[in-house]
Amino acid sequence: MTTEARPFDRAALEALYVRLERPLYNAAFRWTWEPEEARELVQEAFVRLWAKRDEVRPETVEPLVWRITLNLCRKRRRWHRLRTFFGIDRDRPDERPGADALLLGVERAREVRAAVEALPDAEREALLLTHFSGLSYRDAAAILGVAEGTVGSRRNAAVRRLRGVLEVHDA
Amino acid sequence: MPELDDILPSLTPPPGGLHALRERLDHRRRRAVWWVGLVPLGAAALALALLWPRAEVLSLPEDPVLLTAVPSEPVTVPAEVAASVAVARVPVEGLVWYRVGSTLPPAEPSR
Repeated sequence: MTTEARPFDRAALEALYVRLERPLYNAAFRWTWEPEEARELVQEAFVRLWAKRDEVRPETVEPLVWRITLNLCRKRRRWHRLRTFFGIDRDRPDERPGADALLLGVERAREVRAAVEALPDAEREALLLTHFSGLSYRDAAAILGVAEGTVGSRRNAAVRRLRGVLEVHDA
Repeated sequence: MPELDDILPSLTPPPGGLHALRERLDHRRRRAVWWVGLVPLGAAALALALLWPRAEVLSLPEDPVLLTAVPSEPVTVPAEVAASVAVARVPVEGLVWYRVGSTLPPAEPSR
């Protein structure tokens, strides 16, 4: 007897959102440093996922929504840099204490932001993806389009850089 | 020494995320429905624009050949008006047009 794959319907989308909202939000927040913008990016990722629902397969939906979210984060940051360059964004949220400051303290949160912002994009992605997603290195590699070993080396490099600034121990 | 979890702690997203997502999806669907209504209208307008009969613009030669008496031509001038009518043969893009006009001077306007 064969079982038919469950279609990716609205209920499946919402269940996925409930499950992934927090990890996706946390990764997005480390790109935008602004709570509402991070949530908006995550929601936009789900809207785009919904638009592609006919192509979505249940086994690849989670990597797909991570890939969409990370792409949106990178594009949004480029957009902000462009606006800053032309003097449109004078008061970027990364200059203001945010939700992370409540947990870390204002000064520590500022140090962390500076350290994360200083990471190369590839290392930052690998670090945030592996730290927040709970995905295996293999799945993370599929999302980032690199070899499995590359994910580990980029993550380790990112942790080393952070450690150099913040004296972090990778658990 | 702090752990990575202490540096990148898991933050709670702003509340109401699922509700906001539902609104976005519904709004998108409403917007899509609105656009769908315009599709047949646009298609009809396009079809009309493509199929609407347009007058063909032909460039006439500068010096058409004036016919005086060519029996083989399909256009003939009746004998009673032959003195006051001229026929010009105008070959244009594979067709032959005939320009027929009066040779009499324009009449003086009546007072």
